Amino acid sequence: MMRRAEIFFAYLGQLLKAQMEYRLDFLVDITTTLLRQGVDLAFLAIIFTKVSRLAGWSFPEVVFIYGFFTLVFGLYNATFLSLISDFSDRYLIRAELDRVLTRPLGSLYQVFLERLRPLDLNGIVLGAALMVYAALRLDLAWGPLEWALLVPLVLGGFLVYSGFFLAITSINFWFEVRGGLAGPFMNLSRFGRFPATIYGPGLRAFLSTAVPFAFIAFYPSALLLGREEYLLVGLATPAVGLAVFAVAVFIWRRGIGRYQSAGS
Amino acid sequence: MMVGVAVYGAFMRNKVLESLAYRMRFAVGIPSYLLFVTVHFFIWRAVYQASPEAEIAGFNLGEILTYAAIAWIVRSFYYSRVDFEIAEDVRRGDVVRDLLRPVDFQLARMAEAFGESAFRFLVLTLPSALLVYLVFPVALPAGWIAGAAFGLSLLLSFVVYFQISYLVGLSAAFTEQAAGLIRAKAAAVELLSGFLVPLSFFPAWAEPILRWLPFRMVADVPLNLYLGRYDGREALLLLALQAAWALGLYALGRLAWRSVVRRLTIQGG
Repeated sequence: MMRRAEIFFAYLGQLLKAQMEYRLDFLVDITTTLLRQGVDLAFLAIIFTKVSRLAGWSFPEVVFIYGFFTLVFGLYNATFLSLISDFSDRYLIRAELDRVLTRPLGSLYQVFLERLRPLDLNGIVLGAALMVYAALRLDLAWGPLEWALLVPLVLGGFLVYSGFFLAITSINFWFEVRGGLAGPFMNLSRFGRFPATIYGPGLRAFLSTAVPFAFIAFYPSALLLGREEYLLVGLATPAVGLAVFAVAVFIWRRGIGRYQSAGS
Repeated sequence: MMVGVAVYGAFMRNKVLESLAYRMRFAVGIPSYLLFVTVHFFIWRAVYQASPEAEIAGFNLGEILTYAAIAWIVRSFYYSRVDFEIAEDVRRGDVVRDLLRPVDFQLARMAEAFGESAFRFLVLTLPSALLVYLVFPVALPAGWIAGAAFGLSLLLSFVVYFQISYLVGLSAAFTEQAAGLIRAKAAAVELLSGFLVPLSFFPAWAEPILRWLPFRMVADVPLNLYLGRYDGREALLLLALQAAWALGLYALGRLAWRSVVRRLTIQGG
């Protein structure tokens, strides 16, 4: 465990140095992220000039859920995103996994470290800012329970998100999906940015079980927004996250067992 | 003249062939577009359920659902990565190759973009439209005239979108951060064109401004023509306005290209 932490910080230092070389890119990234999210928020704001509630949720509440999602996605962006976006190309087709497998450390941990983007914090900052704004607008009175749950809930949403996409990506060990499966699921994950109550019952059930994107932001947010009826399901978020991630690790290990490197 | 047409036809054909090699990438777009439409379908349904009135900003539920769905279908046609490609060509200096050829750079890129869009139309737009039509309560064009005006307008929205992309792509000659600008442009067009939400939903101060900007030529105009919200004469006027913007931006593109060439010569020493 100590050694793993040591290696983690060694990687982090190197990656930070590498990313600092592109400071201007970093600023431009923040600006474009702001614009991108700004467009979505403008869309919501315009809608809320016409109605006061959307499927039972007020504008600040919807912003809170959206901010929670942005925060979770920001964490994913800084950690798993680049690993998952070119995993098949880099590690399977170009067989960089060979190099990883010769070293005495878990393969998943290694590829995770290699592809960290420690400076891609803009989503995290923006998401947190949106949540604070919404919380102030709503005058949320959090007790010790909510404060204690904040971090586990965010991590739970993060594990759901990362675990799901890690599992999808690990399928590449069995068959290579040209163009990737992640794209359509990435678009499906957009469903998680809005209150799940806007969807029909079938779709909501689907997003709560088979593809549990409602746990990325909606259920944990509903709990933090003080909606009693979501207390239990909200509390389940960290457990759901751990379960999804465990499935991903399981699929990854089976995949590594099958890996035979590129070439003939 | 005939030779000229044949040359640009060749650019178009090459792009179609290139797209053919990546056809899976386009096909994967079909479920994605279905998902985009689904999210917006549910959002709009929730909006109209929450509203005491059946009509908001001049749209009833049926109209807004059709508007939102067709907005995505239209996008699947005009969208391309031509801005990234041009920026990359400019950044790497590959445009030198184009300068040596007796071919107009702007028209050649437009022919390529049109080749890609024609391919997208077959493998992405049509199947997505069919699926969306089967799954969601989407209306057909309001009539023959609306349908014809929409078809023409769709082509013009491609030209306007291409010209905007072209200008932003060329910015790579002046800044290292063209990729950021391109993404900013994509976000701006989504909002300001009426793609995400019709212009009549915007606050009273914003709507008149948006009507004077070129962005609405990409979504607002073709979509409202589809819904048959204009009579024959108004429709013609709008199409003329769209064509005027297409030409104006085209001329702006020529000016921009001239300054890019001057700039490239300087870099060459």
